[in-house]
Amino acid sequence: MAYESALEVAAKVRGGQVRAAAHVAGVFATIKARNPGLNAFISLTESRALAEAKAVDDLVAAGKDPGPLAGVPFAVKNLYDVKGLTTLAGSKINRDLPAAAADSPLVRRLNGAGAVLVGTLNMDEYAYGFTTENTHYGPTRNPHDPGRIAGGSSGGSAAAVAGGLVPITLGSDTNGSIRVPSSLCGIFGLKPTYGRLTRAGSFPFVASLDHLGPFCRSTADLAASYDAMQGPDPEDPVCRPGPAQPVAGELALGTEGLRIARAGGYFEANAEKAVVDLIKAAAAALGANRTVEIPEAGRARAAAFVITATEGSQLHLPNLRTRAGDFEPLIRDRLLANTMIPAAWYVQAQRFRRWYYTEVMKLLREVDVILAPATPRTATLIGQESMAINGVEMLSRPNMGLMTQPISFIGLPVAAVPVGMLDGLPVGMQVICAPWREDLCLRVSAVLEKMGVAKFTPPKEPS
Amino acid sequence: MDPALIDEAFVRRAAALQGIELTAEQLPGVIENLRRTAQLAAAVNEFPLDPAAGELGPVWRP
Repeated sequence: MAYESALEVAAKVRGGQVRAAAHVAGVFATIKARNPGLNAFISLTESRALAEAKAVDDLVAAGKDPGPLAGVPFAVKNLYDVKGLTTLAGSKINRDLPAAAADSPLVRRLNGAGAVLVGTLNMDEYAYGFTTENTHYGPTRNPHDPGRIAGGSSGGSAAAVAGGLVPITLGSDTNGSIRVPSSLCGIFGLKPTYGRLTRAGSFPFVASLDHLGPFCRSTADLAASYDAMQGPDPEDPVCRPGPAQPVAGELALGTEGLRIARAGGYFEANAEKAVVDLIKAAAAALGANRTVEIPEAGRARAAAFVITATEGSQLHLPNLRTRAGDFEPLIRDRLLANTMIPAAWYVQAQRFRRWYYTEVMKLLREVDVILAPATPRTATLIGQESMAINGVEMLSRPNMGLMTQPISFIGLPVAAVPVGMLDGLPVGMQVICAPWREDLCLRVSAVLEKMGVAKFTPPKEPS
Repeated sequence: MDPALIDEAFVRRAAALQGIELTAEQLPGVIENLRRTAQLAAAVNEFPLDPAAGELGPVWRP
C-alpha cells in the first residue's frame, strides 16, 4: 500500500474499487506514523484534502470523469503557494508574511487532474543548499539511512516519496535541487526545460535558473504528473507559450534509433568510480558505447555558482540589511558575502552562459541523449562538513551539485533515474536531452526501468 | 580579483555600500565565502569572450 503507484491508486479510484476519501485517510495515518522519523512534512492539509477527496468520490458516483490522477495524494515543497498557508520557503523570516491568497498554478493543475493535496514539505532555507539541513525546522532524514541527508534543496519532497508517504511530490531545481535528492533517495525526478512549467505562485531563488518539477517512484507516474502540469501561463514571463506536449503516450516508443552517449571528462573525474561504473553499466544496457565531453563543464558550474550567488543575495537584500540574524546560519554568511559580488563577474557569467549553450547544442546535434551521474557520491551524514571525491577533499554541502549545475545552467531537461545501490545507499543518473525533449528523457528512463536497470528500491525498514 | 584582496577592511566597506553592517561573528564567514566565490569567478572571468557578441537573454529554444 505504501509504495502503490499514483496510477494504480487513480485506476482504483476511477474504477470505484477504492474511495478517494478512504485512501486519503489511510495516507494521513501513514504520514503521521512515518514522518517523525523523516521530518519530510512541515504542514498537513487534512481538512482540505478530505474535501478534495470527497469531491473526487462525488464525481465517480455521478459517473463523471474525476481526472487521470483521481484521488492520488501529493505534497509540495513549502515554496509553493497553498491557499491559507504562509509560503515559508524553509525560512523563519517568511513566517511574518501573510498566508497565500491562492494556490500556485501547478497545485491547481494537479487538483484539476483529480490529485489531492495533503501537505507541504521541508527544504533548505530559500532553496540555497543541497542537504535539507534546516536549522529552523530540523533536517530531513534519508529513508534509506536516517543518519544521512535526503539531499536538497527539495529534501522533504524526495524523502516523502522514497519513504512511502505519498506517490507524487513537487519540488524546485535551480542548480540540482530535484536531481540531487532524487539520486540520494533513489527515486525518479524530472527537471523539465527552463520555461516548461510555470513558476508563478512559487517563492523564487534565482530567476535565471529556477525550474519546478515532480518526484515519483516510477517513470509512468512522473510522466502523468508532468503532463497534468504543462501549459502556458502569462504569469511566468519565461513560461513557454503554446499547447502542452504530453509525454505519457510516448513512453512505449523505446530508444531504438536514439543516439545515446555517456558524459566523460569532467563528469567522470568529479564522481566516485563506483558511481561512474553504475552509469557505464546503464549506458551498456542501452547499447551506448560512445563517450562525449561536454565542453567547459567545470567553468559552467563556476558560472552557475556566480549567477546563483548574485541573484540569490539580491532577492534577500532588504532582509540582509535589517535582520541578517534571522537567516539560516548555514547560509547567512554566504548570502551576506554574495551581496558584494562585482557586477562584472555576474555579466561575464551570463555571457559565458550563452557561449556554453551554443557549444553544448552542437553536441546535442550529434547525440540525442547524454548520460551522467546525478551526484558525485551517495548521501553524506547529516552534519558532515567535508567529503573526498577521488581523493580530493572538498566541502560537502556546496559540492553535492557538481554533476547537476553544468546542466541546469542552460536549462536542459533532465530525468533523474535511480540506477543502483552502493553499500545500501541509492545513487542516480541524469538523462539529459536537448531543450523541450522531455519526451526523450522519459523514454530512456522507461526503457531502463523495463530492463530493471533503473528502479526504486524500498528502504529496508520504513521509518 | 585576487582573493587575497578580500580582507576585513574590504568587506566592511563593500557591506557598508550595500547598507549592511557586519557583526564580528559574521566577518570570518563572509570573508571566506567571498574569497571562494572570487576563485570560481576567476575561472569564468579569464575565459575569452567578446563583450559585444551574443545576447544574454535566458530563453532557450531548440
